[in-house]
Amino acid sequence: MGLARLIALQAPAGALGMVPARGGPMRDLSPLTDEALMFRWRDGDLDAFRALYGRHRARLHRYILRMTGALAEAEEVFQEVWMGVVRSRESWSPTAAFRTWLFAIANRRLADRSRKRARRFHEVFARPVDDESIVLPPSSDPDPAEATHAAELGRALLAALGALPAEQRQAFLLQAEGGLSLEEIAEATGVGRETVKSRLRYANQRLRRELEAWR
Amino acid sequence: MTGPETHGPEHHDGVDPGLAALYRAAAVETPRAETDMAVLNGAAAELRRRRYAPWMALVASLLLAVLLVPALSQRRAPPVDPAAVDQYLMQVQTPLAPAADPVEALLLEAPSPVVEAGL
Repeated sequence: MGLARLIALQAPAGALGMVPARGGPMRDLSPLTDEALMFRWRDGDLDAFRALYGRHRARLHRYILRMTGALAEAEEVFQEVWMGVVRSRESWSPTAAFRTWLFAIANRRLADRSRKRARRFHEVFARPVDDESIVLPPSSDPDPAEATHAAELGRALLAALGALPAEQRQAFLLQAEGGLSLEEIAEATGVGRETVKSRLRYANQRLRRELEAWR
Repeated sequence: MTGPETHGPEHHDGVDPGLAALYRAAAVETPRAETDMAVLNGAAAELRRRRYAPWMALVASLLLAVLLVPALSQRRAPPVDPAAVDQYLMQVQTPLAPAADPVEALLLEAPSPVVEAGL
């Protein structure tokens, strides 16, 4: 099965859906950049925050989910991160891209949690992802065999991802889920660009090896 | 059935577009509706708090003033009664008859036996 076909089977419907404003139609803020929206939020524009949230909620949620490995904990961290965005609206300055800043907050929250548990950062992040937290969408493919294969392949990829070493999984997710560049990943994780590149290479090699059985 | 196209050429920056696309197709979880509401309500509450904070401080100050002013007023001396003042002054200013001689004073206090006898 080709990749395009697989994507068509499993494309998320409304995964980045906007959250409608209460009490009236939402203004069209889609042309604005994240940073412009953040400036508006800093000035007290709640719709700007809603637009920002709608843009990044799903990818940030999935990132945290795959780093924590547990849905309940992921929801808590997710809320903490967004409350951090809410509270820092007046002190925010565009020293980095909003997306990089957002994922950096998430990384700090995840690290805080690991410290509270008196565990080492790497031990927490190395936990495999709980299979029950992985929710695959019902496929609309009319061919049951193809649908089953697509679902199994997706499950295999996510399981392989959960088994990656923490730093490799983090780098892969920030690139694939967050859409961050090497430089942005380096900034969000506090390591050098070459280190990120190396982690990504190892992650890709291992994932490809794990998926060889599905070829 | 062929396998996934996840082994394509890797970009020079370490990105494997095939794997990333495969991941994005497979990972579709979204936050729960309750979580969305919690975040958005939290943002709205924060905005209200900041927006009304100066007014709340002003109202609190006024309320404090309203409560404190009468309380402080009650601590002052009660109003003076002019009649009581006059009475006091009368007592102070009236000179007492000095007893010039102690013996005479005793005689004045003790009834004289001669006077009692009517002699």
